[in-house]
Amino acid sequence: MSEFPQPVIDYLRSLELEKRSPAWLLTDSAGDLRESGGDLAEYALDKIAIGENVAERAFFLDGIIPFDGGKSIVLECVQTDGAHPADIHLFKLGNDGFGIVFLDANESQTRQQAVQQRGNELNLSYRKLQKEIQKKEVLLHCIVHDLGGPLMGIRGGFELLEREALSDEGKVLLEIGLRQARRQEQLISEILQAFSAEIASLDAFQIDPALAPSVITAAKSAIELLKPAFDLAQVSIKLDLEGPPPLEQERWRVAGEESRLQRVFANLMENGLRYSPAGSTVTVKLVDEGPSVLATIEDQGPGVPAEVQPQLFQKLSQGKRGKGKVGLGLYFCRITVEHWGGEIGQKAGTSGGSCFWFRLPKAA
Amino acid sequence: MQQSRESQYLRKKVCLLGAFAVGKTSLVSQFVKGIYSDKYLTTVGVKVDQKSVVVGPTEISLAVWDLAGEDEFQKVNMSYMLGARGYLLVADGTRAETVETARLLRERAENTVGKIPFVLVLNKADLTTDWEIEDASIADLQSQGWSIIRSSAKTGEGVEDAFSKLVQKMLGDK
Repeated sequence: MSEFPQPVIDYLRSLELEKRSPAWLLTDSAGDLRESGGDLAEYALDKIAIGENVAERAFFLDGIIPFDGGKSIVLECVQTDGAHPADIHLFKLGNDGFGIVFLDANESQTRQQAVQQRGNELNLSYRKLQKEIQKKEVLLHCIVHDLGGPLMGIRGGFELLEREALSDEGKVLLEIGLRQARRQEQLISEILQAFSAEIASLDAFQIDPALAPSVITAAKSAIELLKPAFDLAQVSIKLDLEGPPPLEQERWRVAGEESRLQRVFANLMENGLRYSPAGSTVTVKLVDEGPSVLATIEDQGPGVPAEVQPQLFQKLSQGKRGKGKVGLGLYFCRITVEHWGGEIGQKAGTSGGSCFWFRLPKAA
Repeated sequence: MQQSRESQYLRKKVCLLGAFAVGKTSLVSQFVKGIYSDKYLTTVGVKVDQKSVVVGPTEISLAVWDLAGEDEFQKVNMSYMLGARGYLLVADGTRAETVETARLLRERAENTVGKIPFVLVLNKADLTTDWEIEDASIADLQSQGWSIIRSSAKTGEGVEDAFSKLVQKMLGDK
């Protein structure tokens, strides 16, 4: 350490003496007091007589003096009843004793206390809030699940009614009821799937090549599932491939699970359909990128407004777009794809519509 | 200590370690003064109290070191543990992650002062509806030889037991 000039030493000394009320004890190697000085009373040390063992007279030094190990120990902000909080510095005096210096820690204690108190309180509040949210999600899940039970009965009743001889007007009304029941079932299914995917995302995920789904099969299954809805809306849907032929299934296998991958496709296709005008086309394209497969679902609708884009894949965000959905479909897609180690996003389509895309790593 | 050798009066230093806000200070306050306060006041540095306990024919003066809790911003300064004869690891039963903090602190304590007796205290036992620690986790720790006591600094449940258990272990009476 460099030499300190006397004025610096004097300044530092006066600073410590004025602000930190130093007190000191010097002991022999057994911890018996040799001499002491400073503001001993502030630390309740003024009653220790020369020759007395400091650890026996100051209980908080018990077990520490005499000490082994390194040259010195600093115990910050030691608080005892009837004494100022103190930073205690213990150091060896060669081989025949110990020095103990007490410095007032009131100021630093007050400062630290305020910061830590605030930090810890915020931490606890955040955790409490998270717990509340979890509880409410479980409650929502239970409610939605319970709503699904009677709905199945209603739909079943309608389906049986379809076999009866109804008037033309009755058939139209029945079709409306059936469609609404199915839509509501779909909604409930989305909510429950989003919830279960969230829970599943907490589990470790491993890719098993033997069970890995073909992205072509999943896309085709989803198209087949939604074909009637597309026909009804007079919107076409087509599948384009860029890569090896479909027969080379192994090269199209991606990380994931078949039914959920199909659900991801179906959600994105439904989303495209929802904003597609009659006579337009939704194009599903699969691109072999080598280590991954890119899937795009592009529509010819009005596109996604800029202000909506940042929240597109958040929970319950889509309802703001006014199409009667609760906004769990895209959320489900995001957490599912991310869980499988992939990524998902949205960009402007080539014909002005929206283009949703996701990329999944190949299974092998 | 000289005085200890000449009389039946023993002095022992014990420490309380744990994550922040698990109730270490409240446990000490309940144990030493029989007082409980709902107000959370974070500990800076360490608070040292003393209390005498009688175990059989022996009176022991405990110097109880209540160390500031471990949080994301500050680690527990293990120098405070020097000279300790035993310690209570305190966890909050309503925050399961505080058991993991207790595990880590035990490892660090062992590196500093070696293998000395300890007891795991699962505090806030009065908050039964928010309890997060599963019986299987407790059984797992017990199978590793951990002594575990449920306590509530609020009601006083298990507080004396925790310190008594620790003292018994320190005296070699398991």
